[in-house]
Amino acid sequence: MLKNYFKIAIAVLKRNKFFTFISLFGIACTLMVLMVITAFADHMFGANYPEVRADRCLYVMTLSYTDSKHNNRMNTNASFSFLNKYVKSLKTPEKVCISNLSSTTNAYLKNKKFDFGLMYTDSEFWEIMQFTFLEGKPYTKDQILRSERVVVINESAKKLYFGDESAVGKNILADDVSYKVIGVVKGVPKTRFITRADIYAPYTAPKSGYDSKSTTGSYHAVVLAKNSNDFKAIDDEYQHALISAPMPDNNWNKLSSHADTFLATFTRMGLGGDNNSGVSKVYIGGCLLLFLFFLLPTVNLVNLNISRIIERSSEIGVRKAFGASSGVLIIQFIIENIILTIIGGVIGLLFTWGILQYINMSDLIPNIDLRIDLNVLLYGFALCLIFGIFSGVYPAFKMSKLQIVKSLKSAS
Amino acid sequence: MFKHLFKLMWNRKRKNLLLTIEIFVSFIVLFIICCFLIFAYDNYSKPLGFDPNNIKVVQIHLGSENKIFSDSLANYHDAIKQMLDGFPEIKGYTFSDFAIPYVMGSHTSLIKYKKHSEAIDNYFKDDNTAKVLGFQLLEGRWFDKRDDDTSKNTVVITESFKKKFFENEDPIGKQLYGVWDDKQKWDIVGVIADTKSKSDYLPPTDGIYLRFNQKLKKTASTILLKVNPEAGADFDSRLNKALSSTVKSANIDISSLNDSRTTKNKIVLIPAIIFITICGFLILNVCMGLFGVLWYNINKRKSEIGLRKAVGASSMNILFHFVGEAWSLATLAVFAGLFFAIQFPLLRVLDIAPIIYIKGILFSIIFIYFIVFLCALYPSRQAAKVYPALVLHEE
Repeated sequence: MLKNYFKIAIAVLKRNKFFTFISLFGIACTLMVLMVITAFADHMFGANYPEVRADRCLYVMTLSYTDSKHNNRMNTNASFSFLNKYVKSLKTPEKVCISNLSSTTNAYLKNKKFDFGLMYTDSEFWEIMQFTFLEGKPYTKDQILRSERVVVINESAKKLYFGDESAVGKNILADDVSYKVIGVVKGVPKTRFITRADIYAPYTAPKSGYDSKSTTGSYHAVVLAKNSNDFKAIDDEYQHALISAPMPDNNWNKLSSHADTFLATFTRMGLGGDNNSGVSKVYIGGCLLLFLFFLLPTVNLVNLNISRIIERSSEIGVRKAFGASSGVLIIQFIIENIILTIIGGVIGLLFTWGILQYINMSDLIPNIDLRIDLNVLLYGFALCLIFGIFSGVYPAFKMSKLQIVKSLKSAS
Repeated sequence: MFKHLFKLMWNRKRKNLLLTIEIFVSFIVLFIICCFLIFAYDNYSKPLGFDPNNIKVVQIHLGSENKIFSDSLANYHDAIKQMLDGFPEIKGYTFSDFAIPYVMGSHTSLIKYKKHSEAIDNYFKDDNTAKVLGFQLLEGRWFDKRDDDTSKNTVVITESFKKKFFENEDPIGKQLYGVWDDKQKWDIVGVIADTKSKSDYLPPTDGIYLRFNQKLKKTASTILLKVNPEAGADFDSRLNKALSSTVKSANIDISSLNDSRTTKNKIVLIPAIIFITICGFLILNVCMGLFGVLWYNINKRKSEIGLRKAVGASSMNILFHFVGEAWSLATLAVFAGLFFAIQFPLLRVLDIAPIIYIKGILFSIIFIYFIVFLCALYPSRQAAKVYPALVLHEE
């Protein structure tokens, strides 16, 4: 039965090559765009190198101080001491690490200037993030407490500064401080800014500002939960801890800060509020956009399919005359349409693969590694099916309503 | 003629419904793209309001152990000034807070004048800023020595700030309230042209400039240097060394203002290019679909064409007829689309000038008609070539 449908579908595809091309092109393009977007979204927000445990992580990124009297508002990162006191002390999480975002520092070597991103971290950072060490090893808690001037650098910084030789044990002069390199890690793309840096230094390094008494600073914390069910409990515990947190000065009277999932750290400020992370709004908006994005190609395909029914009116007439019911015809047509979309989907998949390879190869975003992983593939396949069914139902319904006599007559 | 076209369209309303929906959605997509492009171009064609060339940005992140207290603030600034004066490459320098062009983040506070109050970005600058950054003074003056000893606090405002708060009044000498608290009064001494300090493609920001002085007890975290064009990496390296020895244990970053401008522009451009590419694919998709359907429909109407020709229609007439039919479909879709598009300027959905929406609507209408024309052209020409004798015989 299915084999028969398949044969018919191929025969129909061959009949009018131009129409087949338009249909396949439309399906392939739509799915390609969607798959490239999902690959990017997965790259940005999914669990990827080195944040492979991202789905168990919460992030404390900003402190938001408000002054209700004057309508003033200050969003800022926290200081090391603040996070150490209020986040590291939490009982529910498995581990907490504190680091800042990499800031550009200048390193000089024989009159050549390098702009390196320098990030200060604690030792838990290396436990929560799963870096691949090409040489050496990370710094330990003891080394940090002894204020040793040691750093871990990434692959591309090593190539720039030391060339092809081994870098471990050598010194690098960054920001006028000499550090000893003890490890080299595989590079992280710019888009993963939580872990992206050229040089990782212990927070006790000279210019890190970790001993500042102020509540505000440039640090953030990543909280590793035992599993994602603990997320709410962690934020609740954090909220409880914040009650006793001091204000930076008299200008402010309210502090709001949350342990959020990575996506929520973006959405809370713009879309959410103190009590609402705004993630649901993003999902609703995303679904709406996806719907609109799908609407055009679907209507397009429906249009084409309806036009092509006439081509097959004689076939439908004959089949109906020999007793095929409308239901059977509708199912046949939908299955044919699904076959068409799957062929289009496979072409789209090939396109996607090509584009992702191109982005990976090109220097657009160094170190980026976009892949069509199993998830994206499954989404793509599901989208194909939905697409095929949606664009097939209405034409199939119209087709099954054709009158036998009329369709047989018009074909002759 | 038009009545005839619309009548034909109406007779096939169920068949044409989907086509109309397709053109309608395309119109909405085009409207969004056009508005965005016009918005970006409109901003791009506005003057920058300052000169970012040959400007080095020195950011000093002070460690906690050398927090500068208000009494030593002057000494701290003087030491840096003395050091900078030693460099022949530096043509001018100015101290600033962190809020310089192309840097994320700013102080915002509520500012009041008479009944109008609004949250406005405020920037701390010193006497040299206007010269170093090349601000264009429109009225009054920039900060200078005269502001030193008066008991007044002086501010400079931007052109669009003036438009918002004063309309036709002369703002010089007027007093504003509430930059930090209600009791403080701020005297306006000058108006400068707006600066596009976020990106070349985003609208200029309005702001209020405050003078750095000891009264405010603020440390300058950023120094802007106007340098000779020849000052390169070697200069940066010497400057870094000199600064490191003047300001102990601070994290120092030297960059060029033009580099951050390029980065900021990329942040706007790259998502825009991705978005436009995606929409481009959608429109291409629609074009091909439209072409296919029109071709099919016109092919089915060969006998009608034969009849039209037999009673005297020329090939040109047939061509115009089918293009006209496609256009009347598009007209219906555009009217439906206009209903939605016109809501944007009426409801002022985003803070964008209504003229941009109007231009966006015009451009998208032109574009829709053009696309429909292109899609209808080939099938209509095929139709116009038909021989009446042949097709009527077929029937």
